[in-house]
Amino acid sequence: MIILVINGNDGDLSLDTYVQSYIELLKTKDITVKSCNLRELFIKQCTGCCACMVKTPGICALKDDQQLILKDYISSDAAIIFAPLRFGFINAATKIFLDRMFPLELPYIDFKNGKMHHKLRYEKYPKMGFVFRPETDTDNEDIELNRIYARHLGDYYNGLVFAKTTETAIQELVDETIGL
Amino acid sequence: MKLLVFNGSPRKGKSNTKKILDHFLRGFAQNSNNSFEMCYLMEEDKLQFYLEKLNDADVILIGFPLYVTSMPGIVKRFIEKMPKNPDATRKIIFFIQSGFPESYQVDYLEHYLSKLAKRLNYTYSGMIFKGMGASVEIMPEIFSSAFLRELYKLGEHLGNTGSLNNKVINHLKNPVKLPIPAIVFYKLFIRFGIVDSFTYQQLKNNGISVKESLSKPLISV
Repeated sequence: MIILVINGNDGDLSLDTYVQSYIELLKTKDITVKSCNLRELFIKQCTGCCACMVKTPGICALKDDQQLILKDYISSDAAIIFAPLRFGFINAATKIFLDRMFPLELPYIDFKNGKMHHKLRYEKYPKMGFVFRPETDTDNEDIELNRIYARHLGDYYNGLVFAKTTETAIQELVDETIGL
Repeated sequence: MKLLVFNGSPRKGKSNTKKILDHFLRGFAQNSNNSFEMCYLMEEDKLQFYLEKLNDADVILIGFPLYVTSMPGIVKRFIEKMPKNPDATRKIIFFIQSGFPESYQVDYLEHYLSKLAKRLNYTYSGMIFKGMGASVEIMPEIFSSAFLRELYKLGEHLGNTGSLNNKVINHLKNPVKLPIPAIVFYKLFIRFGIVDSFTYQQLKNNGISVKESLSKPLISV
């Protein structure tokens, strides 16, 4: 089993510590863990140029580190995304990364569960897990709004299985991941 | 009334967000006491300059295309830099246009944005959503002229009264989800290549075959 851990943290290091403990515990199981810190990578904002749809199918026109992550993403069994909430929503760095998943879609329109979507480019997509780090003023409603966003994203890429917060015990998070 | 518009489309001046907002702004400017200014959030080197303008406006409008049911990352980055508004009577409105037609996608987002307004100490004055926004780019004008007129009227109403007309906003939000007969029609149109005809045309222009368009370049064979 291959797990890709995507750390979107660009704030204080407590989230890094949490992610690190999670990775360490995963590694004690029979699992290959790949990981990346978005803040150490160079990822530009999607410009909506649609080259990945109609010019160079599946390949983004922006040349930066995103393609390396997408390669790992598409060959993993699960991708777990850690993001700090800021102003009540996942932080900009994580959102910029998520906006760049577009090359994983096809330009053609289809319906899934009565909702309009793009057809998907690949046969298999990793299962997706989200872990949000709350802010001091985060309430349950904020968490729920981010969960809904994560579910929408999961609908696009065939995969949301959980959306939790860093208040979850590491052991529980690892158990959930292995159970995917 | 002074309106400050932040255009959050990465496509800036060429964006459908701009094309649609222009109609709204034309309506707004009908009243000669009104003025507006548009700033592009993709111009990241100007963000500091833009942030300083916030206190000069009576109404702030943040407009953006929907990127996977939410705001583009650059818009989120801007939001994270917004200071707490010193004057709670200053209004904030949002405009969102999406490629897909259904507004169910943004129900949660409206909730989020209204909460954000409160967090930033603005008076939340509504969210305008328009699905099928790309119709202004890829379809004959007849498909967009009716809703563009509504946008003009919304802008005019804001310019004269200082608030959005909820009746028009709710009308623009249709459909929330597509009714089953519409989906049946769409699927039929998909089968005959009508729904994707703009895509086929672009592929053809770029010399890409349909088979090539399906390629899977990120997996090693």
